[in-house]
Amino acid sequence: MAALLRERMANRCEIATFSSVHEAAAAFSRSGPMDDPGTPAPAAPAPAPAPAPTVAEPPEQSHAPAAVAFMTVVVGNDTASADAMLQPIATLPGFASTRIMLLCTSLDISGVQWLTDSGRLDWVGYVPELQTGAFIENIENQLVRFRERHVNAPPDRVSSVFDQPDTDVEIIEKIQQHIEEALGKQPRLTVPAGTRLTITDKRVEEVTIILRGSVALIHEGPRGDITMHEESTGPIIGLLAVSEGRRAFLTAVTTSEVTGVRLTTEQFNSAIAGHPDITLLVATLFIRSLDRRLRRAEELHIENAELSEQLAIERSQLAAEHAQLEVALANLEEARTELMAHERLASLGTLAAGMAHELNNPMAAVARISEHLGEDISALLGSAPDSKWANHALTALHAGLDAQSLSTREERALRRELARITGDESVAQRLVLAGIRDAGLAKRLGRRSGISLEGAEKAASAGTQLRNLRSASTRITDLVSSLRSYARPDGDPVTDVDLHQNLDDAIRLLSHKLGGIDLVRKYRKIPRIECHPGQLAQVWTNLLTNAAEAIIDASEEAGRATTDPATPGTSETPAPIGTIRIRTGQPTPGWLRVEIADDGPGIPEAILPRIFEPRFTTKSGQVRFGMGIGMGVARTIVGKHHGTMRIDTSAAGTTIIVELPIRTPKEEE
Amino acid sequence: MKLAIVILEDEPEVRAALERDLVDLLPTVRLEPAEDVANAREIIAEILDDGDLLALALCDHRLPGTTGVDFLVEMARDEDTVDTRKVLVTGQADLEATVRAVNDADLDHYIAKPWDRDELLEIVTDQLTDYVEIQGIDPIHHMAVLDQARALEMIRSGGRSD
Repeated sequence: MAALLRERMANRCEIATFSSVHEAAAAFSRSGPMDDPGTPAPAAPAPAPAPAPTVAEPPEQSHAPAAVAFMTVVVGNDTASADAMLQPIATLPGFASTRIMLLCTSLDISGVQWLTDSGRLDWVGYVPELQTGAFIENIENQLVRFRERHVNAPPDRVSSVFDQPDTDVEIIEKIQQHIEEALGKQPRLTVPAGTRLTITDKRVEEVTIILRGSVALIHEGPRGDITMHEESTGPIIGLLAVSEGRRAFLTAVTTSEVTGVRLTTEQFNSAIAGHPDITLLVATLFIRSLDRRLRRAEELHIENAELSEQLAIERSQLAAEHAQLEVALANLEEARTELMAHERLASLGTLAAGMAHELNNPMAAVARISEHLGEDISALLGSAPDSKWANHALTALHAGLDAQSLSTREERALRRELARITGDESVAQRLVLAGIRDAGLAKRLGRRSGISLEGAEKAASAGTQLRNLRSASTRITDLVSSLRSYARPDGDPVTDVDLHQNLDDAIRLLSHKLGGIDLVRKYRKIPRIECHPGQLAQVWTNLLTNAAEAIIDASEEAGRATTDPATPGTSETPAPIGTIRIRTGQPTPGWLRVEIADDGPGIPEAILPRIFEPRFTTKSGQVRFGMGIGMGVARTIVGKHHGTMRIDTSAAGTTIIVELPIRTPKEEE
Repeated sequence: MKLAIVILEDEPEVRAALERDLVDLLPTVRLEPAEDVANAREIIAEILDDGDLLALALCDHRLPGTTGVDFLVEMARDEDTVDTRKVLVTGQADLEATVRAVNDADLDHYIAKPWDRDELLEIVTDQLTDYVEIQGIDPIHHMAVLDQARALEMIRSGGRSD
C-alpha cells in the first residue's frame, strides 16, 4: 500500500508510514502539525501488521509537513476498531480537516460510530477488490476536498448525473423541443386561474407541461381545502400519477393564467421512446420537484411539531391562567360581597351623618326651649300676687326640677310613705310622679300654705317635665353627636382622634344591643391617633355587636335549657347575662391596642378559619349575614389603617385584639 | 277590687311620660310602673295578693337582657296572667318578634312609639272594657275608665240576663 502510494502520489505529497496509530500520533504531536493552510502534510497511520499509513505533502513545499491531508487505515476483524484507532488522532489540533479513508479487510465492519457520527468517515473500500486506478482517483478527490476545507477554497463543482445546470424553465423548453421533434408541433393551451388540471381520486391520463403560470396542489378535505404546494409545485402536472398509473392524490388548480402542452400518457411515452434524452430531463425535473415537495413537507412537519409544542405550552399556560382566574374570581366574589357591605355601611354612615347634622338644629332649639320654658314658668309663678303661694309654688317647681330619678321600687316605697301623710294613694302617686321626693315637703305643702296640694303637684310636675325634657334632649344630642363619628367614612384620615371617645360613641349607639350585659371599660392613658374615625367606629360597632350576640345567644340557649318557664317574683335586680371588657393600651411606642373581650362560649375551632367569610352562618343553623360581614369589614378597615387584628378564643370567651399605628402611613395609591 | 295596669318600661323618662298620660285614670285603676321584668313580677305578685285584677300590661319591647315579647309570652303561659290584656309599646320590634307576640303571647294591641296621648287613652279604655266584658266583671265600679257606650250596653244586657 505504502509502495503504491509512493509510486503514484509522491509527486504530489509526502508519504509517511506508521505501523501503529500510537506511533503516528507521537510523530505528529512531536513535530506539531503546521497550520499553514497552503501546505498539507498528511499522514495515515495503521496498526502494526497492516500496511501503509500515509503522509502527503506538496513536493514543492517539502521542507516541513504542514498538515495531514489524509489518512488511510486498514481495519478488519483482527484489528482494533477504527474509532479506537482514529479518535485520539483525528481530534488532535491540525487533524481537523484530515480526510479519513478506511481500507477494510472484512465486509462486515463495526466500531465506526464515532467516525460516522462526527462526519469524519470520508471513504470506505474493501481491500480484496480494490481497483488501483479508482483508488488513486478517490485519493485525489479526497485531496481536493481536503484543500477545499483546509484553505476554504471554493469547492470544485462535483456534478451528479442529475445535476443539470439549466433552470426548470430551460429544461421544460428542452423537453418541449424534444417532444415536438418526436411528435411534431403541439398546441399551447391557455386556461384561466382556477382551472383544475387533476382532481383528487380521479384517474390521471394526461400530463400537462406548464410553460407559463403557476399551479397549486390542493388537498380537498372535509374541513375545506388545504393548499399543500404552490411554490413547490413542479412544472409537469400529473407526472407522478401517470408514472404509477394511479389516481391523483391532490387536486392541481391553476392560480394564474397557465399556458401548457397537454399530452396523453401514450404520447408522452412515445415522445420518450423517440427521444431518450427526455427521460433524464424529466427525471431531473421530477427529482427537483420531489425535492421541493419533500422539503416543503419536512418544513410543514417541523412547523407542525413546533406548533404542537407551542400549543402544549399555551395549553398549560392557559390551564395555569384558568386556575389563577378561578382564584381571582373567588377573591373578587368575596371582595364584592365585602365591598357591598362596606358600601352599604358607608352610605348608612353618610346618611346617619347627614341626619345628625339636620337634627342638630332642632335639637339645639329643643334644648334652648326647655331652658326658656323653665325661666318663663319660674317667672310666672314668682310673679303671683300672693308671695306665700308664689314661694310654695317655686319650691315645688324646683323640687320637680332637681328631683333625682328613682327606681320603681323606691318610687313605690315613697308612694306608701306619702299616702300615709296625705291619706290618699292617688294624690301620693301624683306627687311622686310630679317629682316630690321629700315627705317633709309634702307635709309642708299639705298644710294650709296658700297653695293647694293639687297646685303644688302641678308646679312640681312642671319642674319634672322640664327635667325629663332636658334629660331626653341631652340624650338625643349625645346620640346625634355620636353619629357624627360615622361621618366621613372615607376621605383623608383625621388627626388627633380620641380613641376612647370613638369607642364610647359606638357603645352609646349600641346601648340597645348591650342591655343586660355588663360593660367594663379599662381605658389607659393613650395618645391621640390619626385615623378615619367613622371607619373605626364601624369596627368597634361590628366587634361589640358580635361580642354581644355571642353572649345573648348563649344566654338564650341557657334560658331555654334551665329556667323555662320563668318563675315570677324570685329574682331581685336581674344579674347581667354576660360581660364585655374593653381595654386600651399602648403595647409598643407608636402603636395603640384595643381589646374587646366577651365571656361568651367562644368560637368553635372548626369554624374559626371561616370567620371572615362574608357568607358565614352561625346562629343555630340560621343563615346569618352579620358576623362574617362584620368581621370581614372590620378586618378590611383595620388593614386600611395598617393595623392588625387577632382573635383569641376559648370556651371562656373570645377576645379580639386590634392594634393600630398612631400615624397612618401615607397610602400609596 | 281595682283594675290594675302594669307599665313595663326601662327608660325613666318614657316610663314617667306613660304614667303621666294615664294618671287621670287614678284612682279608678291601679297604675303600677315597673323598670324591669323582675320588678314587674314582684308587682304582679303584689297586685294578685291584694286581690286586684291585673287587667292590662303595657310593655316595651327592648328591655335590658330580655324583650317585652318574652315577658308577654311568659304572662300568657301563666294562668294568673293569661287573661291580662297585652299591649306592646315599642319603638323597635322586628317582624319576627311581633309575629311571636301575636302568636305566642296573644298580643291584643301594638302601640308604636312615639304615641299620641288621646290614642293611648282610647286604646287603654278599649282594652279595659274588653277585659271587663270577657271576664264578666260588673262594669259599674269601673265606669270612669271604660268605654261608656259599651259599658252601659253591658249593664243593660247584664241586668236583663240577671
